[in-house]
Amino acid sequence: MSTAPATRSRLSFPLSFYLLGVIALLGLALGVYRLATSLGATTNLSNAYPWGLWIAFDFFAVPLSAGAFTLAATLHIFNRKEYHGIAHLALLAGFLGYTMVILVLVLDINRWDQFYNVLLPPLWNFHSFMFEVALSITLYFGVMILELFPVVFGRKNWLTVRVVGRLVPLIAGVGVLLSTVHQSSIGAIFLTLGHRLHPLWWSPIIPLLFFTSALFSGLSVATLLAILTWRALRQPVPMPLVQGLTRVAAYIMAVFLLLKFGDLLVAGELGLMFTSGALSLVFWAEIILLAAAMVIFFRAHQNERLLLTGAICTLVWLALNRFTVAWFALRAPAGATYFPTWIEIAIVAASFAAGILFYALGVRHVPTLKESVTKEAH
Amino acid sequence: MTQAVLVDTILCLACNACSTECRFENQPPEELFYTRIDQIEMGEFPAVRAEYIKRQCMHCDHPACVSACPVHALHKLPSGPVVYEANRCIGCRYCMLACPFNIPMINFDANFPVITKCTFCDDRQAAGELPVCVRTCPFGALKMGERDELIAEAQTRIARSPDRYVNHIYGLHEAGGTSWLYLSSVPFTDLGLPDLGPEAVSALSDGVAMYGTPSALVTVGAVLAGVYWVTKRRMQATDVSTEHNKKESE
Repeated sequence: MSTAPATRSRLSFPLSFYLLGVIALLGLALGVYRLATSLGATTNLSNAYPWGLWIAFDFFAVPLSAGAFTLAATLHIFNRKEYHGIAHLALLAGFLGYTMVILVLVLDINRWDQFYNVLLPPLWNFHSFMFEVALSITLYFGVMILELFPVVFGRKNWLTVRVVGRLVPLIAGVGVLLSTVHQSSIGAIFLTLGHRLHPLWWSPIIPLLFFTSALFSGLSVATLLAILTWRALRQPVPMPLVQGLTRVAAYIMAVFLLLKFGDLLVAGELGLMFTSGALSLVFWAEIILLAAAMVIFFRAHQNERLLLTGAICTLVWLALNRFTVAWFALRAPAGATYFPTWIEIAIVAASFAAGILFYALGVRHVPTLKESVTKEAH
Repeated sequence: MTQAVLVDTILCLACNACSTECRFENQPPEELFYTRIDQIEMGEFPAVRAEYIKRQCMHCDHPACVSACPVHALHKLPSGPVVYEANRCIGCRYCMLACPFNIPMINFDANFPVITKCTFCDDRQAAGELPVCVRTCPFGALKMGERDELIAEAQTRIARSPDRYVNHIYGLHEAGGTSWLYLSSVPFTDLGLPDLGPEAVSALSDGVAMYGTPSALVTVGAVLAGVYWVTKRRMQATDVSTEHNKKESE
């Protein structure tokens, strides 16, 4: 009479998957509610605070997804074939990250019904870095689909798979170029906001700062993904490969810190590091996080747990830095304050939940992606 | 032929005829405005007095909002007005942040809000009429004309009563020059106008966009192609040498 427990379904998931799924679905429902109503009904945005949590999330999630292009460059441009496993995982994570960025962006813009205007050449404004970011991200999303195609369907002997597979170095190159453009252009958006952004963060070289930080953030995300994914699939973490990433990341962090302090020195604004009240604390929290990550990456070559800590420090730094630029250090007209509503926060939480869920599902259940990990160990 | 308006805040009695008539004619959403009179309390009690200033879009010569807009929804007409086309807007609200005067606004409670800001009555100007506010002002505080002539007029007024005016025409050089010019008896920052240099707000951004982006694209593209070529050759070289070694060992 009892149902046979032996036939355990291949599609049985841990409880955490269901939890993530519920959060993601709640976010989806809230997203539809936002589109059906208005920004006023769902967010605390106002004419004094036109930008809030959602755009700050986007400016954070784009460099968080930079593992895809940094590893694509490593694999296809620098021809380090041994990185193909990590590159595939970073590509999957990056694709999911950009998906969330675009979905949250659609919720955030108030004329989402006309978003396609960004794709109409007669309307393009080459003076606007918002244009460069919007177009470049949209195009890069297409490039990522092309990059993922041979990874996911690599076993099939379809003509399209063979053609796209042959063109992969070119496609990856275009992707790296597009990423270079929008990672730095997100910083360049703030060039014209010198009258609002606090001088500890505003700089004429902010595009360069955003680009270099996207590079080491991408490498740190790849480090994090490698360690966690190999562990989750009970495989030995390929430490030589991980060390290769963290060593490069450490050098780029050193360059970034030199640029950052050099820029403040040249601008004669070093004193602001101590005289900006709460923002001084934020500044030093950033510097300490990044310096810690850099020291760990330079010195802890063999220690898996320390390297993971370093990667986490980098990503906390990234969140703090991008949120500060897009929110905390952006001056509003006198007296205005802003704190996100629970709906704004829930949408961001749901984006993370959906991203993590689909990443885990991809690694567990797409054979070609799973092989990226299991074959790497040998 | 750039049209401009000279606002003489000394002549303004804050009767609000301009803002009322503007609201009636242009019908902006409730709580938003094309123009309004700001009241600023000055001095310490009991010597308190109020200053008034009419605020609206300054119609900059080099508007930051126009530079910021990704889809050319905002643009500056040769005759002066900075105008908005709602059917282009994607609603990114970058213009609202880029504007140093905090002018563009939206109605956050609308399903598909549009940017609300003074249009300089560009349609009326095209028909040869005056903007509603200029037409309405009963005290001559708003004077419309050629920008150069208005600057000369403003200089004359300052020279005639140097004790009454601050010796500065706001908008002559601010943010690269604006189509709306102001005279005042108190420093302009006290009236809520920002202290801006003579450079256009978007000058640096425009330069980086026009020269930085293409040169970065070319440089990075060349470096990527170079690295690819070198590493590919090196890989082929090692492939050939390992094959060679294999054959020799056989």
